[in-house]
Amino acid sequence: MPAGVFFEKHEKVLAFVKWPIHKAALLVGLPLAFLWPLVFPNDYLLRVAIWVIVWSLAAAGFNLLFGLTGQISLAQGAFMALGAFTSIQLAAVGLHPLLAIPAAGVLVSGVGLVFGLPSLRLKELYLLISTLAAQFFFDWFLRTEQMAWFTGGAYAKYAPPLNLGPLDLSYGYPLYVTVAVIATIHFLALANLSRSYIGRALKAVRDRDIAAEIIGVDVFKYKLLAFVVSTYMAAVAGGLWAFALRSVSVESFTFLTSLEVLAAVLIGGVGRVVWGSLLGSLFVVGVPEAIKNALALMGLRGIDIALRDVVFGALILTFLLLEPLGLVELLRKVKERIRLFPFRYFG
Amino acid sequence: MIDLVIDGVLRGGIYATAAVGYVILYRSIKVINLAYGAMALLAAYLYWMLTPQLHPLLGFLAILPVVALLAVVADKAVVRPMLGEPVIQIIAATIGLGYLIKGALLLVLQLGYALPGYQQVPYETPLLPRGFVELGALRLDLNFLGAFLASIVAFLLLWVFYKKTSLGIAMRAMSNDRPSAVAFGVRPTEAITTSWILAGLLAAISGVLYAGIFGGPSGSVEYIGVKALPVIILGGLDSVGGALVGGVIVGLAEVLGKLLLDPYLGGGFGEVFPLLVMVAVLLVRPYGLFGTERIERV
Repeated sequence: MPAGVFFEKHEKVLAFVKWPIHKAALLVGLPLAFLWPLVFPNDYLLRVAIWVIVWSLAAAGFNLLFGLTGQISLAQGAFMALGAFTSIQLAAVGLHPLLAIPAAGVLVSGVGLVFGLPSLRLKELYLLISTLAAQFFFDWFLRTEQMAWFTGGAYAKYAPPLNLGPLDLSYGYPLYVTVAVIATIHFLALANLSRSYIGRALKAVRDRDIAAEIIGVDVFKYKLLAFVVSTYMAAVAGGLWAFALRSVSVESFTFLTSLEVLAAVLIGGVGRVVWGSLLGSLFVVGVPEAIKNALALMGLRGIDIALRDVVFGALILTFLLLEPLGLVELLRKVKERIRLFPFRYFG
Repeated sequence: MIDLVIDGVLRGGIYATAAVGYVILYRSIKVINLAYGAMALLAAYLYWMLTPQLHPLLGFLAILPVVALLAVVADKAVVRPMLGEPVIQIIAATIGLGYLIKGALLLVLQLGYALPGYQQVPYETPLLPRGFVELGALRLDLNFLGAFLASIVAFLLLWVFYKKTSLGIAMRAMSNDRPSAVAFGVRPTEAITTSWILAGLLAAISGVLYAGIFGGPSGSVEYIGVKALPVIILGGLDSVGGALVGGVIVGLAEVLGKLLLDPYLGGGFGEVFPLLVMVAVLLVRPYGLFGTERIERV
C-alpha cells in the first residue's frame, strides 16, 4: 500500500466497494458474468464456467479458513464429496434440489465441526497432517461396500434435474445462471462475514492466536466457526457440482481436488476471500483446459495430464516466490500504477 | 499371527526410513517437505529405467546422486528464498514442487512412450532378490527383510553421522539452538544443504525399497510420503529415534488393522487405520510421543 492512502471514516473501511475502479469493475463485470452466454452461446464454455464457479466456492471456503484464520485443511475434497452425495441423497428422499444443496451443506458442516475440534490443540504442521488424515479417511470410507448405497459404489450416482416450479434449470444457460446466482449469494455472505467483527476476530486468530485470546477473542470458537464455514462452502460446491453434472462418483473428488483448491487459493490471493478464490479457480480450471485444447488442436494427445501437473507446479512456485499474495495483489499493483499514472510514487 | 506381527515390524522399518527424511529436514528448517513422495517416486522410476542396463546395485548407486542433486536444487531454488515466511507457505511451495516433479516424470514417460522405437516396459529388477527365507517356523519375505535391514543400516549410518562427525554435531547444535550454534561458527547454509541431501537420499532409498516390495514402480509409490506422515507424528517431528518407534507402530497398526478390522469395516481399512491412530495420539499429546513441546509466548 503506498503511503498516503487512508480512509478517514470507519464506514469507508467497512464498505463493500472501496474504490471507484471497483465500482466500475462491478458495474461492467457483474452483467458481463451473467449475460455473456446469451451473446456467445457455447455449451463447452458454459460447462467450464460452471466448473470455475463451483471450484471457486470451495476455494472461498478454504480461503476463509487459510487466508483469514490461518488454519489449514487439506480435506476440502472429501467435504465436497460428502456434500455431493448428501445432497443427492436428500433430493432422493424428497427435498427440493435447490433446498437439498444448502441442507447438505449444513449437515456436512457438522462433520467439519468434528474435524475442526483438533485445531484447538494442533497447529500448522500437525493440523495439516491431521486434516490430511481426514481426507484419506473419507476417501476410504466412501469407497467401502457398506457406503455403496450412499455413493453408488463403483458406479456413478445420478442426481435429479434441477428445477424451480415449471422452470427447467438442468441444462445450458438456465443452469449457469442458477449456479452463478447461488455462488453470488454465498460470496456476498462471505464478504460480509470477513468485513464484520467476525472477520476481524478471525484475522486476530491468524496473526497471533495467543495475543488474540488475551484481548478477549474466543479463539476456539472462531477457529471452529472458520472450519464450519469452510466445510459448508465445500459441501455446497460439491452439491452444486453434483446437480450441474447430474452424476458424480467417488472418483470425482479426491486428494488431488484438495490440492487443486489449495493451489487456487495460493494463485488467486491468500486472504482475499472472494476475488482471490474466483481468479484462482479461473486459473486452476482454465489453464489445464486451455492446455488440453491447445494440444488437441496441435494433434498431440495423452500428454495433457502431465503438462497440467507441470504447469500447476510451476504456477504455484512462481506465485509463492514472486507474488505471495497472488493475482489479486498483482491487480492491485496495476490499479495503483494507473492511479498514480505518470509517476511511480506519490507524495 | 506371529508372522503378521513380524511383517508389520518389517514394514515399519521402511516407513521409518522414509520418515527420517522428513525428520532430518524438519530439524534443520522446521518445515516438512511434501514433495518427498514425488522424490521417492522419481527415484523408483529412475531405478526402473536404469536397471535393465545396469546391475541392480549399480543402478541404485547411480540414482542416489541424481536425487541428491534434485534435493539441493529444491533447497536453493525454492525453499531457501522462502525461509522466514509463514511455514504453511513453504509447505505449499513444496506441494508445488511435488506437482512439478511428478508432472515432469509423467511427461518424460509419456513422451518416451510416443517415440518410435520405444521398448515395451522392461521388467522390474528388484534391488533385493525375490523369495522367502525360512527361519525356524517363520517364513520371511526376503524383500521385506532386506528392506528392513537396509533401513537399520541407514539408521546406524545416520546415528554415526550425528554422533561422531563434526558436521553431524554441528547440525544437532543448529537444531537445538540456532543463534548460539551460528555464534560458535557453524555455517547455516552447510547444515541446511546437508540435511536436504540426506533427506533426498532417504527418499531415494525408501522409494526404491517400497517399489520393490509392492511390485514395481507405480503412482502408489508416492504414497510413501503420506504413509510416513503418521510415523513422524507418532514419533514426534524432531526425533530420529522416535521415527523408528513410530514406524513400527504404524507398520503393526496397518497389518493388524488389515487382519482384524477389515472384515468388519470393509477392505482397505488397514491403510487408514494408522492415520486414525495418529489423530487419536495427537488429541492426547499434540506434539507426538517423543516430540519436543513448544512453549508459546506472545
